[in-house]
Amino acid sequence: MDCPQCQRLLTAYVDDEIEKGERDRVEAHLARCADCRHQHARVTETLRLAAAWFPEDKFGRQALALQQQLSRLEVLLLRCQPPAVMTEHDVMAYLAIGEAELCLVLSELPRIDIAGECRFLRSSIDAWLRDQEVPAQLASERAIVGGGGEVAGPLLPPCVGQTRSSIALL
Amino acid sequence: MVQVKSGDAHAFRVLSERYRPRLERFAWRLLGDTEDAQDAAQEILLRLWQKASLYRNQGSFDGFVYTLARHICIRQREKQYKTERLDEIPVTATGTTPQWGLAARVAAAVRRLPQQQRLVFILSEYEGLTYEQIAQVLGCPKGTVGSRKYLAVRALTHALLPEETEG
Repeated sequence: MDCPQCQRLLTAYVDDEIEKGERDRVEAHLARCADCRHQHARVTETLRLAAAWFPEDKFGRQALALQQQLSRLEVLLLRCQPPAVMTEHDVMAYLAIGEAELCLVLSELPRIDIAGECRFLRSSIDAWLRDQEVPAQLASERAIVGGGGEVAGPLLPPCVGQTRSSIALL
Repeated sequence: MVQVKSGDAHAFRVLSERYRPRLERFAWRLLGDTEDAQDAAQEILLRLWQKASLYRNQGSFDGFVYTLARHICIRQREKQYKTERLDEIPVTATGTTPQWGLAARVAAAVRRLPQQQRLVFILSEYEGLTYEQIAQVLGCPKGTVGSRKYLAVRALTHALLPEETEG
């Protein structure tokens, strides 16, 4: 048996699809031919790699769908995030206040003047916000005093429910 | 199969459950699309039910089933791509997960094979049919199956393994 004959039979040999006599001849040739042993290794490796082609299963499809959904959410999240440098409109949206309220606090807000345009750094606005934070108990007292007898419901945290009901009785 | 031939619906249901995943997998490799593969598997099973009486207990039953499967898949492919032959399945049709690198490379390489070599390779490597059974499916001598498998593996070796440098 010569090399071309042997190499034509290698696939069937690996598949165990040749007759006993031919198998013996292939094995005898392989024992003395390094080139054909190398080809045999390549056929085996090709078939090993080919086994990687498996159908997408249900789990694979679900994982992919989830991955795509997460990517979309990330994009949305990035779009929703306020910019690092904000205009007055951005600040109003960020603080959930209207123009009138902005005018009231504008002088307190840290800002940058760029060629006559007013800009606000989000980080500075965050710091300013933290300074404005009032402890819950104090907030409820302020609401009661400032509300003229009317309870500003949303300002009261749930932990002061008892105060709310006692006020309601008044 | 004897029960199926006599019209036993329960026996056919059991047979369908056993063969459906294999047929879907086979069709998926030939058609490159999950939904088309599911449709094809459904049609193959329907044809199997209708043609059960033609099975003569000669040759392997797998051979009988895959013969039907082969005809239906090729016809479905021709329906989708009226101007294309099965040889010309786009290599991009590797499902929706191109990031599965090696699998996609193998899929592309197998789909570039000529139709007869591809059928032999898929039936042999992924469906576990013997050369004898494949010969039954394709209606050709067993030796031809061996030659086609050899040519398919040679092409895939070139596609998947690094080229050897001479000398």
